[in-house]
Amino acid sequence: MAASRNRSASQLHRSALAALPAGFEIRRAGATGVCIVENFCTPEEAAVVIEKARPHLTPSKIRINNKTVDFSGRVSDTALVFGPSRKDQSLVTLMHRAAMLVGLPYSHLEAIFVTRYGAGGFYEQHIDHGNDFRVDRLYTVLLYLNSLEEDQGGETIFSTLNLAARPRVGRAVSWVNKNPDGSGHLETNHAAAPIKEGGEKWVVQFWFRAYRMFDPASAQLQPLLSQEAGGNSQLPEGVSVHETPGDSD
Amino acid sequence: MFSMVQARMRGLWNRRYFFWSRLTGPEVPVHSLSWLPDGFRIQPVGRSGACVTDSFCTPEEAEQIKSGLTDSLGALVHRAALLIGGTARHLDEVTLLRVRSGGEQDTRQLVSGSENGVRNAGVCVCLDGDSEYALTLRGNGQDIEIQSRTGRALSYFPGGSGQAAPDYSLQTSQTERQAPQDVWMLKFWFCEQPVRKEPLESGAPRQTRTGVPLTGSEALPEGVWAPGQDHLEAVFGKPDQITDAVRQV
Repeated sequence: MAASRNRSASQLHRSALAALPAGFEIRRAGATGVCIVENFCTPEEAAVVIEKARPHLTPSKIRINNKTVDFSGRVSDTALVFGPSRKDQSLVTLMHRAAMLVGLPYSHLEAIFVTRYGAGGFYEQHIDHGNDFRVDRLYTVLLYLNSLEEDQGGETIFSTLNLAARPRVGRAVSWVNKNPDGSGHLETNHAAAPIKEGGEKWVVQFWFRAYRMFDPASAQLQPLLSQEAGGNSQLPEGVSVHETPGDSD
Repeated sequence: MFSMVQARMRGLWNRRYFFWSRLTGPEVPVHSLSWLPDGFRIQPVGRSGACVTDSFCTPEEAEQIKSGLTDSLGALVHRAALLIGGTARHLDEVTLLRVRSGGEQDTRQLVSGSENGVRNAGVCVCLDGDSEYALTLRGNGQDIEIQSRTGRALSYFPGGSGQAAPDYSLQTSQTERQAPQDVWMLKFWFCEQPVRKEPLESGAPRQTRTGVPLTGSEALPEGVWAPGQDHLEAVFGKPDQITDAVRQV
């Protein structure tokens, strides 16, 4: 049983690696510890997630002093897209990619939520972690599902780190909230700037824990299809495909 | 009353891994993104399951390895593990390969292999860039040629263990082209399951370092910038302050 489970995990990560969008690139934002990932997902994948989340949006809340409350410093709507009561398979590929990025099994993910900021929507400065079980988070991967221009606001601001990132469809921003020993990175406090009139922002939050959060069998990827390299697939620069020369007689 | 007890018990059951990690301590691999150089770019090779990664290592790290210094080897192991979806504990062997002009090859084992592991993933890193030299990945009736570039890595899966993707073997010798100079490569072999109790020593994990604010002189992706310390106040219209608010959705 254990062997088959391990083989399954190895196969799934392999599938996630080979299914990366073209142009997947990881950039470090100086020495801030924050990483920017471009082309984490395609616009088509992002559009699917938005449409899956749209019917389930409810006003967002926050967690203070072990209680879930409304908060005037946060104006947005949130939808559960993957959790105990809903397991939308359109998220599975993205879950595996996020897990590959941070080096943890995908089963260490919390329930996954999509957040929409409408015109005027924002989130004041906050940190993503705490000692409460509900916010005991190691890593955050924040994925933008649409793009905003400079005059539309909505940037994610890390004031202590002097870093701002504008939403771009397929861009992910990742950082470390806590270390395995429980010590926190308070410098990762961040805010979502208000959205200007006529704009909206959609994001997915992937929060990773130091322990399993759900049964891995509930989010398995389809096995990697056996296909030939080349053909219509875009090859990296400096890579070419030829037929294997036949053996000489 | 019964439903409340039932909900409470279900909540405790859902947190079983959290309680277990408090007893045993979390086992968390080093945050993969902490180990990556700027510009780390993964490009899949069609649907072969292989990936080409540019900026896998910096030119400085490549020169260190070639000159016999292995200070950065631990970090390279973590990066290679990221590419194949495993951890540094899955590492079997590391070999330094020198392909001389004329095709003769010298190998030196940097990390010895285990006797029990079944290898199912390989990463080959070019420590030199030579337009006359290419790695060849052979399988499924095809030869995939990957031009060598300093810091470029090729990750591939030789197959076995019931993997769905085709099997590939890596050819590093040159029989048709004569390289004008020696070409150095680093080869990592990984096993399907962890074969080491402890990963290679690699210095203090970077994820524990406190992030350093941007100075404004760093090279950043388009749409990412250093906004200045007053940006948050300008956006929200009030002084910068960290609240106790933590996120809960």
